[in-house]
Parts: sequence; structure tokens; C-alpha cells
Amino acid sequence: MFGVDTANIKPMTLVVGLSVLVVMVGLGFVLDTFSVQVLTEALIMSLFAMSFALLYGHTGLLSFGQGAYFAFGAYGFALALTKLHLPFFLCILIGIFAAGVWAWIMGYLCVRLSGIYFAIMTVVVSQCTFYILFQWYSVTGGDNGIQGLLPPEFLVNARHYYLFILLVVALASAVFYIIVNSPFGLSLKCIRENIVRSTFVGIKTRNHMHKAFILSGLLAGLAGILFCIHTRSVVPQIANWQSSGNAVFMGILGGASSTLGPFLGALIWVLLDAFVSGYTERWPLVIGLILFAITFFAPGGLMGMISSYFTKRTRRRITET
Amino acid sequence: MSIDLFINQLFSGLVRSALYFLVTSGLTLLFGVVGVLNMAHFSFYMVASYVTWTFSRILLGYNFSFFIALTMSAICMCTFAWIIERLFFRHLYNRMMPEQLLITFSIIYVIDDLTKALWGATPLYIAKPDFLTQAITVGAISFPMAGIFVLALGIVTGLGTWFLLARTRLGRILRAAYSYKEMISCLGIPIKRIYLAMFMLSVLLVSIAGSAWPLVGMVDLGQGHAILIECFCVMVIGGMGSFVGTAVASLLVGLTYSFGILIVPKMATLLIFCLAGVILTFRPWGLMGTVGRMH
Repeated sequence: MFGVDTANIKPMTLVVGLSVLVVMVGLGFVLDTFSVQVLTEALIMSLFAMSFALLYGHTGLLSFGQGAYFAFGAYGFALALTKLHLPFFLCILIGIFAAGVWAWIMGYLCVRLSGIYFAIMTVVVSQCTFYILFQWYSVTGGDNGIQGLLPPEFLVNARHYYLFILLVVALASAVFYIIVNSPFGLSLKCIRENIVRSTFVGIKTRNHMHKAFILSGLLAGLAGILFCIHTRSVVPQIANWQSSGNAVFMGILGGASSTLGPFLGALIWVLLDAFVSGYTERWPLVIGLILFAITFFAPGGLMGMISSYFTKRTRRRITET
Repeated sequence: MSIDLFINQLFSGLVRSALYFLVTSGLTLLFGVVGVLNMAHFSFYMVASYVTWTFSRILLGYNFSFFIALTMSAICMCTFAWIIERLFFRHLYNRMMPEQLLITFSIIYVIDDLTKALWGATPLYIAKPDFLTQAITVGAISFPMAGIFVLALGIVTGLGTWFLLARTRLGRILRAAYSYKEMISCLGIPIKRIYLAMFMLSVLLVSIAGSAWPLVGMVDLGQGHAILIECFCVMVIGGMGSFVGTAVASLLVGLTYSFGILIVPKMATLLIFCLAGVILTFRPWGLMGTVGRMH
């Protein structure tokens, strides 16, 4: 489907990725339980940020509705676990499948629209999902949500769960990296840069956008599942505009077009959430001001700032010599 | 369906349409003329309600307190709009579309949280003037005056804005900006000032909507997000930037909601969403939008 081409994957990336992985595994044994939980949340959220980055940073589609798929995955998993009593890992697959199906249906509708209409439609979809989850009391539990989502015995320990999440996120981000650098991913970039010319060179733009939409829905769904296992419960609020806004915030903060951006954004967001919200209840204000500053002054995000610094330094060196 | 029920639903649908129209028209006009979709529009709507509440509380006991509160909140909101335009919005006009959306989106967080800090999280009720608490009864149906007032406000504001757009010099300039921005400045018209005027007009419209809302509902932090789906649907159904299209679409959506609620009580909002989905699949530019103009 995506025509994987290993030539695009640089050995440097492999080295960096593996060493980050080793450091993360090490941190899982060294840190105290609270920090491990914070790191777990950061990893989960980085998947969520990645789902936004795939659409915005790589395809140029601004989605304000990632919360819909995040919630759909979580609810699919939670319902399969509590109502049908299926095995844990089968439930995870069902949750991902549910998010994928919802993204497939909604993506069909959304990718027919472009630019601003697309953005509006994603907001509408996410709010509608929120209403469905909120009002369908008999199935979703409405405002109360669903509690008691216990993982199997060997994952109850925070450290074990952290390692499990690390494994899942590492696999998912490897797949993400391969997809983004495959011919398919490059054609997505082509769509981002100029959709009219992409059509001219023969890229089926709508089809590609739909595929990217589904992939991002799957990623968001996976993030939702892992998140609801992490918190042991699921509430409808994860579908609304604020939850989608979190994905936007993390993606933009780190830099949506870069590979490491979502990780950095998610890490900073979770750290801010864990420590700033203890000092002040004006937490949304802080989020709003940071998001404003980033989008206003540095649209490339933190990774964009870093890479532009290196570009400038290299240029300066070249001119000096 | 009995005729009484029909008329009752028709009336409530019309009131709803008037509100949708008041909220959406400013947003869609701003988008059409300036080219910026203001995501924070719904937060302005909420702030306007709170400001109206504050003024009507200060003026409690005076005659015409509500009308003075409405005027004062319109003045306050326009001043606020002027400040925001000078500080931020004027820098957005030349940005790319996603950046505009993201910046206005970040403003939602700031405004919502400041509103929460200033007015608290509990819902507030406004003391309605005496004549608005009564109802006109015709046969077995009674029409609450508050609803009639909101409807009238919607119609009067709509006609007034239409007159401004269709019959005055400013309106002609605004319509020209809708179709060909570059030419406006070539003709020696200060386009920045036109944009400022448009932004203030859009906030004025939403401020009227925000003042009308407390008459039929309660002022709370979620009111902007509660109306968001319907208004975005109205906007895309009518065609972005089309004033008449917005009026038609808000009628369509308001009536769909009020009759849909009889058939599928909990899913009326989803019905609107489906309506938008169907219309957009066949006419992606909306009912009265310009063909091919998708931004």
C-alpha cells in the first residue's frame, strides 16, 4: 500500500532512535514511580501529537478534531473490555479498529473539503462525537464515563506498564517514521506544498488525504486506548474541543513537520501539566499564551527553532571559511 | 402533528434561527471580507453575554435597564474589538490560513480562562425587564415575549446589516473587498481601516447575539461551545462569506433542530450535522457561496 523504501531511512536516525530508546528503558528503572507515570503519559501523548502532526505537519490538513478518534479508540476498548469481557489485547485491537472505522467514515466526508472547510468540519465532527458519547447514556455511561479498566496482572505495576507503553510507542513511531519517509509520505508532503500541482503530477490527492486521515485516526485511537488504561477510566470530555486542542498544542509546540517534534511537544506539555497546574489554576491561560506566542513568533515550533539555529550556524561557518 | 404543536415548534425554531443568524453572520462576513476565520468568535459571544449581565445588574431597578445594558455591552465589545484588532488581528491578514486559525484558536483559551477568572464558573441569570417576562396567548398557544423580542432583534439587525451592505458606500466597499481585495487599495481606499471596520461590525453583531441569549437561556462558560456546531454548520451550509446564504441556512438549521427534536429528541444536533454533510457532499461551496471559492 505504501511502497516502503529503505533508502530514505538514514542510519543516523536509527542510531539516534535506538539510543533514545535505551535511555528511556534505563529511565524506567532509575526514576521514582511518579516520574515514571509522568513519562508514561508523555509517551502516550506523543502518539496523540503524532496523529496531529501527520495531518498538519506532513499533509497540510489542519485538524481540530483529533479528540474524536482519541475518544473513539478509548471507548471502543472500554466497551469491549467491560461489556463484552473480551481478552485485553483483543480489546486493544477492537479499539484501534473502532477509531479507524470512525476516521474512515468522517475522513470520507472531510477530505472532500479543503482548507478552511476542512478545519471547520473536523471541529464539528469532534463536537458531535462528544455529544454522542455524552448523551448515549445506556451504552457510554454519559457524564460518568466508564471506570475500572484494569490491565492484566503483569501490567498493573507502573514500571511494567511504562515498559509496555515504551514498546508500543517505539513500534508505532517506527511505523510512523517509515510511512512518512516512504513514497506515500513524500507524496503527502507534495500535497502539503501544492495540492494543485500534486494533482497535475498524477497523485490521487483525495485518496492520499483520506489514507493519511485514517492513519492519523488509528494513531489517535491507539493513544486514546493507552491513555484510558493509564488513567483506569474514560470520560466523554476526551472527545471535546479542549482534548483536540491538546493535540494541536503539543504538535505545534514541538514542531509538527519534524519527526522528534511531537515527542518534544508532548513531553513539555505533560511536564507543564504535572508541575504548573500545581501552582496555578489559570492553566488554560498559560496554554493559550504559549500557543499564541509559538504560532505568532515561531510557526515551526521548538524543533523548527532548533533546526533553523543549526542552519544559520552552518551558513555562518561556510561564509567564514 | 397537531397544528398547535406545529406552530409552537415553528416559533421556537424561528427564535433559534435568529440566534444562529446573529452569531454566524459576523463570523461569515469577517471571513468573506477580510479572509480570516475567527475561531474566537464564540468566545466573544460568551463575553458579550457576561458583559450584558454585569451591566443589567448594575442598572437593576432603572427603566429600560436591559436596553441600556445591550447598548453598553455593544459599545464595550466594539472598543474591545478595536483594541484586539490593533494589537493582534491586523498582523494576521497576511499570514497563511492554518496560522490564522491557530492564533485565533489560542485566543479562545486566553479569553475563556479570563472570563472564568472574572465572573466565576457558576451560571448566571439575568433579571428580565417586566414586559419580556409576559407572553402573548393566541388560542391555545402562548408566545413568550422574550422569544418574540429575540426574533425581532434578529430580523431588525439582519435587515440593518443588509441595508448597510447593499445600500451604503461602506457596504459597497466591503462587497468589493469580498470579490477583489487588491483592487480596493489600488483605488486609494485605506484597506486596513476597512478591515478594522469589518472586524468591529462582526463583533457588534456577535455582541447583539450575546446580549439576546440571556433572555432565553443562562449565561455560562459553555454557551459558546454549545452553539459552535450549529453555527459552523450554518456557516458552511450557507456558503462562507455569503450574508443572504447565512440567513437562509440559519432558518434551515433552526427549523431542522426544532422539528427534529420531536422525532429524535437527543440527536437533533446530529441531524444538523448530517444536513451539513449531505449539502457539502453535493455543493462543497454551500448553498449560496461562490462556486470554486474555497480559500
